[in-house]
Amino acid sequence: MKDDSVTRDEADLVRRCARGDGAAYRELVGRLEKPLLTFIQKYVGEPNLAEDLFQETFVRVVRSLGDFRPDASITTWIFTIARNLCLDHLKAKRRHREVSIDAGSGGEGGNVIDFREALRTLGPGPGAQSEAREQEAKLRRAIGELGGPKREALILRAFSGLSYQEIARITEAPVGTVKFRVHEAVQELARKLAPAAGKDQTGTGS
Amino acid sequence: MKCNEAVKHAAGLALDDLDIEVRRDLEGHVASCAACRGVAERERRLVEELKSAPAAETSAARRERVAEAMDAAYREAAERAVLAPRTSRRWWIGAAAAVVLAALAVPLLMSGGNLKVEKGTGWVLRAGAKDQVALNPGDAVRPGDLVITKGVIHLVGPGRSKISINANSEVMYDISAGAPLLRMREGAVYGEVRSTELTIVVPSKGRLTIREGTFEAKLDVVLGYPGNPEKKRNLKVQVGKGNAVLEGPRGSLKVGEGQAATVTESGQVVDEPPSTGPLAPWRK
Repeated sequence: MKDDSVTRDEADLVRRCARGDGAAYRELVGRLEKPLLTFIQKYVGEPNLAEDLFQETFVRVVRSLGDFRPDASITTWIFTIARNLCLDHLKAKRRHREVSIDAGSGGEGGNVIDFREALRTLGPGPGAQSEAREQEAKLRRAIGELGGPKREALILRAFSGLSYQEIARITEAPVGTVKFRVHEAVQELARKLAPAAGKDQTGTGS
Repeated sequence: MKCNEAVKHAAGLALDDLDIEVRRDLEGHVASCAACRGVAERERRLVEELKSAPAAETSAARRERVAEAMDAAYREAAERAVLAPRTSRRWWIGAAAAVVLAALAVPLLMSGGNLKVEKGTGWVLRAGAKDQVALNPGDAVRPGDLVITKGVIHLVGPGRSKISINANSEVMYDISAGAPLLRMREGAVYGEVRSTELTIVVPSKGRLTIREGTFEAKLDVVLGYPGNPEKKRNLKVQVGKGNAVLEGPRGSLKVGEGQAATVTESGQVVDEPPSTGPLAPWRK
């Protein structure tokens, strides 16, 4: 997922989908299953809801194929549809600004991004359970405190592996802005997660 | 490079997306500055961990379920004959349009919603089929079918409406909105619309709607695929008789008898000088 232009292969796939070709549907879903579902899961934080939104994304793809313009990749277009669905859901639930710190990702009050897998390796070690929990809470808090644009840019880049160009199209922001958001997100996370004694990011050297 | 700059670029180093010069300067700085080295190392570890976090697991059952939902959505859109008025910002316009469309849909539904080939031959990709088949005089074009032409093909539809599709065109027929709709992907269409409303849409979201009249709609579109980079998506419309409405994302225009207009690539609707020749000369 690096080139943001439509390929002949993709164009053929779109045409087949527009004609109601079931095999083309399966191929399209298979191509995007991992990155797109990962994105949705991280974005809404609820696995079951993510499954529903994933399916609804492709249903909307079928309904909107007549509007698809081949000046961007099918990946970008479908991620845009999924993102809009996620945003609609988050707005409806008023969760996009009310990130729950305490709830797990599987619950109704789940956090926006599930970083628990990452925490297993970010934590201080298997023996220090309480410290790990504290670190996990800190990370979730840090993620929850990221602004929406930074959060989605980080998810699309780090988890779904999209290029900055693709993210720029999906989020309708300039490429430079997207890059800046991802950098800011990483800096902010690292700063918030740094041990109190080690908050020395500003540096003192030359 | 100063420390504040180094800190600013450290995430870029971790994400491996810095310009070569900036990267070189930054690496030189962190080699000699322990504080910035610590920042860079912490951000590098964070990025590594984020990237190595498990992705969603794939599932054949999920793919099958989603594909079935897509298929159902396709069939619903293609076969649904109930009224689905277009979105309108003014609900009462939508409601009025619904009443009109409902009346116009009657002959359409009574005809079974199909078009029939009167003259000419071409190809058709039936809804849900994998392979296209020949389309000959007397054959039906059903909702969801994609007509592919090499030469001109003439069809008759509801209320004795006539539709001619130019050579080298691709047009999908649809009635999901309760009235005939043609999704033009390439080519040109001529129509004599009677006792119904006909809508033509193109990929650039240009939309022509006409009732009781004659027209030619031409799509100057060459899809921008590799090896074929030209991109023109102007929908040019010339009205013979009656009135049409031409809409785009950035405006709309009523196109009266003998007038012409275009929905441009950017979605604007602009007047065009009307053609002085016969309407759609290619259909003869």
